[in-house]
Amino acid sequence: MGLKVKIFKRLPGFDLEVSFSCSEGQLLALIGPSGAGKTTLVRIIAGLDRPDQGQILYKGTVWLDTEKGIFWPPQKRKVGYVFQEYPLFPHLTIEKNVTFAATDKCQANELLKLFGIWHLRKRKPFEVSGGERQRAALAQALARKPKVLLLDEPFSALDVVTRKKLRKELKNLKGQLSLPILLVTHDLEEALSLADNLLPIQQGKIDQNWLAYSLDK
Amino acid sequence: MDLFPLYLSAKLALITTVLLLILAAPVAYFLVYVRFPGKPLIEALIGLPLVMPPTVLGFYLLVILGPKGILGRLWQEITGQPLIFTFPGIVLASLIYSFPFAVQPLKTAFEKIDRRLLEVAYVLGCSPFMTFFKVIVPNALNGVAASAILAFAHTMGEFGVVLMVGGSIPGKTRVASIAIYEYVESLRYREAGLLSLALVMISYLVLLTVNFLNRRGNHGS
Repeated sequence: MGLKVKIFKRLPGFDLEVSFSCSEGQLLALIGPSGAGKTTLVRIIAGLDRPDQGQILYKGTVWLDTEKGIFWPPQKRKVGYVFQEYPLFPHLTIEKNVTFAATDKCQANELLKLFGIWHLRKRKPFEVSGGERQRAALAQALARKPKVLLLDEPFSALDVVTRKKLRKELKNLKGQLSLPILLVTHDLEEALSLADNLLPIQQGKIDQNWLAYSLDK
Repeated sequence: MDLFPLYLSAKLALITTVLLLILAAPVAYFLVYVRFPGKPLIEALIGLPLVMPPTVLGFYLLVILGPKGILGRLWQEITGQPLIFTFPGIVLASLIYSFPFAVQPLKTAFEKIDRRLLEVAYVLGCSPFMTFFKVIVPNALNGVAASAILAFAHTMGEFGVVLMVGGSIPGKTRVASIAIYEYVESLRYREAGLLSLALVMISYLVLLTVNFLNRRGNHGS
């Protein structure tokens, strides 16, 4: 089994309480309205936030177990995390951004080519478009050869055309990656077009009714 | 005209600036990024030299650095030399006096950095220590420059604290501002004027450098 998550965290207004798993090569969409706790959940998986209670296991390795007092810091978990409106390092070129944590320079160059940003490699982030920045962000996350890929609304800040293009690219890429991928989105169309499974989250809880209701609409 | 006081001021300012950058950077880091109880108390304490009369600060330093003071006695035991009326003594006094001037621009620059950049670095495997040098400092170069320049300029013009702690020993602690004061006291206005002009020119150059760095250092983001 790839990634197993069981989390409880008190948030202002409601409790985040979810449990799910995601296997290698599977793309699981965490779908729900804004403020449902989706981002908090992926931040906890990345090690950037701590839950009040919970367990995270990756292939049997314990990343987090609040009962046993185990907490792996983000540095040790080796996840790829792409934020919404991804902040690339502004002082580095696209190439240096992608190779920032690369274990293999050749592979990083391949990623630059794969994402069609090879010709932009000497530019700074502010000199390229939003879509190109998101591609660079994906390349940066993948260059570290992550064990899990977390995508937090990666396309929501882009225009419709670019968004559709990048979705297609991600769909193609998915087949080549054999790692659990979690995609946070509030866009049902995006979730349906990309995901193998949907995990609807409403007010911090898994809520299949919300999904049925949204699909009906 | 004796140019030695000017040299001594520059030497004092340079040494103080280098030491201040090393000391102020971790302090600014802790104030911005680390949560701890009593932070406002520490911040106010660091800012105290900004509002305290230099002679008052100088008086307390004289007590602490004196042969019966904690630091003075410790220094004497280690080096066999006193701190009061010596160059190391005025360096130490300048460090405390100019400390807020070095911390503040660094703090402001660190605060401006998008927190997510730090999180990206952590997720990409950087320790907080590595993140400081690979992400925070390169994105706070304006602040580092401003901090260095302010500390330098402030130390160059120091008077009250240096006079209290160092006195006015020619070749040792008689810095430019003290020399100017003494020239005026003995009605040697020409020398006082020339030395003052030199200080004005240095200050002007410092400001030009700050403006230049500010214009050049913007990443455009």
